[in-house]
Amino acid sequence: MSDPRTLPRLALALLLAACSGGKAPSGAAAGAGSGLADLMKARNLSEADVQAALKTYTPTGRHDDYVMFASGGHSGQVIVIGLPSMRILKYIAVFTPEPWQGWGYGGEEGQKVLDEGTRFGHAIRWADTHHPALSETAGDYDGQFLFIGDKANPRLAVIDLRDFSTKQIVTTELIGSDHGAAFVTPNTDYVIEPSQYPTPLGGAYADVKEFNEKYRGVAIFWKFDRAKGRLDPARSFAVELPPYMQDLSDAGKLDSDGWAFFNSIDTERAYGGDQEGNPPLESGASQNDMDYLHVVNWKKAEEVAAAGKVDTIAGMRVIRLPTAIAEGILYFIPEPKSPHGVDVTPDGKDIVVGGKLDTHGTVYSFANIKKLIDAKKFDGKDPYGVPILPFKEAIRGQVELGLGPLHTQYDDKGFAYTSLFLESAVAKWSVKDLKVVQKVSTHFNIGHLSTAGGDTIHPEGKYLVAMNKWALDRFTPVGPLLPQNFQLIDLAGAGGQMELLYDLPIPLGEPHYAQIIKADKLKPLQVYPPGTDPATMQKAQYAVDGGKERVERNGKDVHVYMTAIRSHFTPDLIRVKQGDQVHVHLTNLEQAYDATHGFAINSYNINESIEPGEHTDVDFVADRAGVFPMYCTEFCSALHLEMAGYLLVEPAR
Amino acid sequence: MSRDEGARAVAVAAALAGLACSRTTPSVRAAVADAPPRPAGCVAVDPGASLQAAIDAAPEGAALCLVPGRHAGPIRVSRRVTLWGPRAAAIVSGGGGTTVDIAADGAELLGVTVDGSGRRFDLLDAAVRVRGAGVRVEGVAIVRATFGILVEKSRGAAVRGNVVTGNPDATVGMRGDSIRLWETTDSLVERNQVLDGRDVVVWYSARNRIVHNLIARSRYGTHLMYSSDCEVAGNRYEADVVGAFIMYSHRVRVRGNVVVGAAASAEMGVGIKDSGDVTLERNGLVHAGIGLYLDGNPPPGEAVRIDGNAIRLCDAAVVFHAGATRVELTGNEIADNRVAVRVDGRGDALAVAWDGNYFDDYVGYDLDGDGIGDLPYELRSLSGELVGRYPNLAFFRGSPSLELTDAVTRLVPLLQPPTLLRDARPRMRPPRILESLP
Repeated sequence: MSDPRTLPRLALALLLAACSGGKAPSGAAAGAGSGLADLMKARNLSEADVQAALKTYTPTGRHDDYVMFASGGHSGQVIVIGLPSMRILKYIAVFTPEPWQGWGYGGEEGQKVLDEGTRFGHAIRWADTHHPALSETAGDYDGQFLFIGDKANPRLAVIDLRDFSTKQIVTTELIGSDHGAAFVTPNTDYVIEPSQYPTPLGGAYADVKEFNEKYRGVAIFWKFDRAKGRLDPARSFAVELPPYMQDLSDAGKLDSDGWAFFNSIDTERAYGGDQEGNPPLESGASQNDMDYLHVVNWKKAEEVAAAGKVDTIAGMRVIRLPTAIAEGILYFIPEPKSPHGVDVTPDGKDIVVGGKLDTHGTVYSFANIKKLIDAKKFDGKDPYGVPILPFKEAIRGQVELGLGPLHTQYDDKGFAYTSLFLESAVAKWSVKDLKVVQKVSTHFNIGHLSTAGGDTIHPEGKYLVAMNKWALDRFTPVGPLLPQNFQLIDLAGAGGQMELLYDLPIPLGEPHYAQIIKADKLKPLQVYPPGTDPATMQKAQYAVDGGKERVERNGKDVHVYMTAIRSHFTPDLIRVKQGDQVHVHLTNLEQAYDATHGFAINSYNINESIEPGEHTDVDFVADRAGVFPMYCTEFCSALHLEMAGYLLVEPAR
Repeated sequence: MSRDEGARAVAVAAALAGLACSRTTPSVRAAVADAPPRPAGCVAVDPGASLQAAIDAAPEGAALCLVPGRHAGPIRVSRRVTLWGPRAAAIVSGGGGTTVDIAADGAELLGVTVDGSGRRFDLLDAAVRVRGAGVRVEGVAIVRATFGILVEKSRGAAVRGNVVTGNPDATVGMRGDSIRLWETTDSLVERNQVLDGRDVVVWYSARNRIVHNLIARSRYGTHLMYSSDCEVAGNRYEADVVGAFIMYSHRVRVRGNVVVGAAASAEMGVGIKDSGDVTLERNGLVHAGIGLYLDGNPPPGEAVRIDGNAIRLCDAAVVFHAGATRVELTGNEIADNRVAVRVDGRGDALAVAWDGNYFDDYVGYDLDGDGIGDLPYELRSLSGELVGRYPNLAFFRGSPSLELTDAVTRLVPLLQPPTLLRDARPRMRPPRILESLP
């Protein structure tokens, strides 16, 4: 009885006793049992509800077993969620300024990273984040880094999971959007970013009527330097592709390591023009029955790029289409009916493709693909000369799944789980037998789904999260804009069946994909070593030690070496003259867990978060004379309200 | 025990009286069309001659009559001519591409056999492709082709009385569409026999009529997407995965169709998703996993009206997936189903306008003898989870709701099965809709 793990079982036993006998049990158990019964009655809960509650309820102080990293959609951020409690643990600031984390409100570090995402001279302060990818070592999540793609302004961000903060944003003006980013190769040598909507490469102009000739797609392979924790544009390369809309990606693994797979849509090359006598884009793009699965030999591409057989466009090394064809880098295989997900099985032997307007999942065999390529057995070429492998010989089979299959995830028992958009359901099916064994309804219009370890060579199964696009009646109404609905599904419910456990409304942005990692694989810092600059994870150049606080003036440059510790800024008065360039070098001297301070200055649009041990630099021009209160914005102690001071800007004469 | 398997079998037999339900020999009554007559004054083309050359040489409006035998394809019809032949005259694929490519207003392809096409799905290799206004494809037999008849960016096409036979040895995913309308308006698909194909598709195509066809052993009997103001009537769907599926479309009339023996992955009679002003009248939906599937409410000002249909011998007769407002169910016959109504996600169908439906598990009475029960019909739900945990409850599935409520209350006193629907004026006797259908 002292083992806390037995308690849920006890509660359930009492519940079952109360339910099945129809006779009140006696003694102490009766009290507990009928209390539970009363509660169930009062809240109109069934036994299944109570079971679900017991599977998700996580009492205070207890941690979650799994951590899910979900894209934050157009919030431009990443959401961290604990499983099975479905508690939101954090929004990680990535592409969008976020004041709580001091991201983009005066701190140098955030400002610098945000500015890395500038395109064509435009500072961009939002993103449409789609697909997060955890770094992998030998095909398994290693818990070190997270990458996330921005579809709207094609960019990739690198998040360091030591401190769950964004370290880098990269972008290339080569392309005008991406979708299938980010996906990593099994050792995170590369992070994959294909373009989506074709454009003339490098930001050039050509009328859309020249779509076939002048518009192109690419698949970019961003080189990841794990030691530096940064993507390295100089060692990255792109493979030029025909102007189809490249969609999702996945990297081969084990048997298929060295290859990457991309869906495409709109091989019709429709570009809209509904007022110019053309069918609307979505109609034009649905004319053909099949599009092309792109099969890319990235290891070969790496060699070709290293040999210099590239053109450099917008700073990116590009393997041109004829080179890619001649060098055996690029092949196509037909794929049915507005394909969407492309998901390599854990053993790397198969690739599963779902078509939005299909009822089947198509399972391609990498062994078959390889054989066809080696034998140069092609079914002709596309209009750009890319060899097309025969569909029927490239596949292992098809599985009849239901209406609108999209994405597929895997478990540890040989099952795959495919989201069915039109049917709002998840189909569980045997990868070996290509047979559906169970379906569960989701609410509503499911897009992606994610299982624990679902993209690794060792998926854990256990939980599945259905990421539903519509919530409809699931929650208390909050006006015409509704949250998205994440639904937690137990993959090992009664009789090994899928059981829906719990709904989590996502109230900011429309998430797309997520990955789920075992919580104990993450080893985040508790506090930064004193004086750490999170940008470098080294001691900051201007780190301030306790007792060394000072103000130094050098002409119009005023350097304020400041510390924060409960509950005081030293110095707490900053005296400058109007027009001075102020450099606040602020170190949080705390080493106590959770003793974060904030630093906000009235009317200067400044708010920094300084976590224990962190150093931050805040630069601004004191262009407005006056008295500006500054204070700590993160409640830190009994005297938090008193953790304040003044910026005194003396008027210029 | 009135609902045990034996009794169900009797009920199956009763409900199928007059309905051919064989999975191997579909009824052809729905699609009988006379062969098109030989055009007067047509110029004979022998099998040995070049059909293409004859077409290219023919004046506008001329008719060519194909003499029985094998005529080499592919051919391209780029002028307004009529090609006529008996079935014994076959236009044969050359092994690649589309066999008969019609790209001329008013051209006609009548009576012949089109044998084969290329095998490329990605290139839409078809027996017949149509682009133009007022094109007729009539009485044609299509065999061994990847796609059957593709009608693209056309207006006023008539696709009538053709027999499109797919490949029964291929899995359904490895077949092409039998008939497809894309960006096509004001056209007629009538009295065709479509066997062993994949789908009959109407996409981005308004104001079309899909009537009196027989579509059997295929996947989507008729799939409408972004295709408003269409009519789907008098068709017979036998052993398809889904009978008719209406998606993102408005003002669609689905009338007098019979969907029978749909059973495979989605197992659906008729599905309606995110559409409005869809009317289902006098259809027979028999022997499906789901008889009628409703996903998404129609927009304000529009409705989905389900009137006078028979939904029988289904695992679930009516399933509401997301939402159940602006939906009317009137005068329907819901009988011999495992579950009459299911609402996914624990909602209810109380906002649906139920009126004058017949439910075979209604146990009220009719003292005033007006044919309408004096007590409302109420259906309470028995959740699947509960059955999973108490398998004994499965015994009560499909039994009268009062019995069910009683059983649940005895077995699981904590649970109040929620009311799913209420029909204040239930019919006492079935309206015998199936019997009135062709």
